Amino acid sequence: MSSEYELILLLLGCASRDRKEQELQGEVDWERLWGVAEEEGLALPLWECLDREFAAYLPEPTAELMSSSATWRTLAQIRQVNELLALLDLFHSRGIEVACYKGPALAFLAYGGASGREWGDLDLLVAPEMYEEAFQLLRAEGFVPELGDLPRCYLKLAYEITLIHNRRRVTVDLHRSAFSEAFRDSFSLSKKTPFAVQMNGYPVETFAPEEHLVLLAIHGGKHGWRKLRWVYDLVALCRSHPLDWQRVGQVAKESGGVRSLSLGLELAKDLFSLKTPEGWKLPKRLEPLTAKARAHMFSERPGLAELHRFQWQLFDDWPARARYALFTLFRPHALDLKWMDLPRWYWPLYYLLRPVRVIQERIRQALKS
Amino acid sequence: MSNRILARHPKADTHPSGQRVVVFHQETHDSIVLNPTGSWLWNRLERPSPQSELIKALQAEHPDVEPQDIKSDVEAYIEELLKNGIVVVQA
Repeated sequence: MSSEYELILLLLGCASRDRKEQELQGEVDWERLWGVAEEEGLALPLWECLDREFAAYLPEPTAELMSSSATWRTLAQIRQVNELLALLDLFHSRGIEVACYKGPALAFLAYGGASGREWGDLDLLVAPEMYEEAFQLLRAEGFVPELGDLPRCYLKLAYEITLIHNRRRVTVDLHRSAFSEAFRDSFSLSKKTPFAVQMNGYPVETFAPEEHLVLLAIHGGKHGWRKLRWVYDLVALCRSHPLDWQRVGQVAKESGGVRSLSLGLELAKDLFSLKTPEGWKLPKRLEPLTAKARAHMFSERPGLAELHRFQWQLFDDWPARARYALFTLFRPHALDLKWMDLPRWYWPLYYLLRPVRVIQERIRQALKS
Repeated sequence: MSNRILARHPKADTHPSGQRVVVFHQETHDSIVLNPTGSWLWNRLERPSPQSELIKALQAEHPDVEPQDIKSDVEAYIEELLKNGIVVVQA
């Protein structure tokens, strides 16, 4: 881990002020530090910490650079929030119930607002029966699917679809559930606790902090915890809310996310010295996962096979693992659907075509190499 | 003029960024970045305040600066904020 990462962990973590000052008095490559923070999506929290608490240590040109960069980012986030509010208004005007999670919802929930955390896209969750209508509504607004022209059955089979509006510079991830069918369906609109976060004075429906915490942990595990920011999200959420840990435990159990959350909290403790409540200790035989996650973050990005292995170990029970294996092997992806456009009555065949296409692809790759 | 009561425009959103504040006006869609002193004034305006009180408070924060300089700077700054529509004079 580079010294810039170490300094970011120290500054955003729970070390004493003296310890942080001691480090800042040493030699700091500010340009590299800012570069790492930007790359990790932690520029805004770092700026908040440095400017509020340690402004005296910032050389003038560095402060200027960071300040203008943070302001520029904040302005971009404010624009995104306005786009989000306009979209939510549009959905509501058509009677489509919608929740927003991660991204701006998390920024307002855990970081105090749009200037606290950066995000890339807007995650919108609608009820499965409104999924197609919501998709058509976004299409009518000028959004286009990221994957280009989609096969007819895509919406029936995919739990999420990414749509982009180039002129408005907005990317929407439209979901009918937060995770694919490979995971237990605990984060759908019908199962969430009613909870709203205030955004610019408007209530925006989202997951409650306890649900968000588990969801973020499962999301981090699903991607092998390859981004430091995802761990810091847990830290920020825990710091910003007095969480009901009994409720957290209940959500984790119901969603099959006990191990994922234990690992997430272990990482938060390990990297940012977050004090976590008793009872969330990672089982001993899963301790190597902490080292693996650290490796994914700081040295080697995980490959697809490694990601599957990592996720496999995070499931709480065997039925969940079996479901994951089945869906990973058979659930059609966009590439499978594009491979062959079947008539409506033959769509179930995509589940059989997927392994055939994947095997064919592997053979082709093997021959090439 | 110095006794007028000033308030944030109800459609002006506050977005703190370090010691600065970015204010977004929901009606005009304009964003204004306030410097640390402007941000300090803005934070004081969380509750409507008479202009004279703002000046006094800032003078107390900076006893080393000429009170008259602070007064004229604050007056000019508030005129700017009024012009931008993010601050309003309460009736």
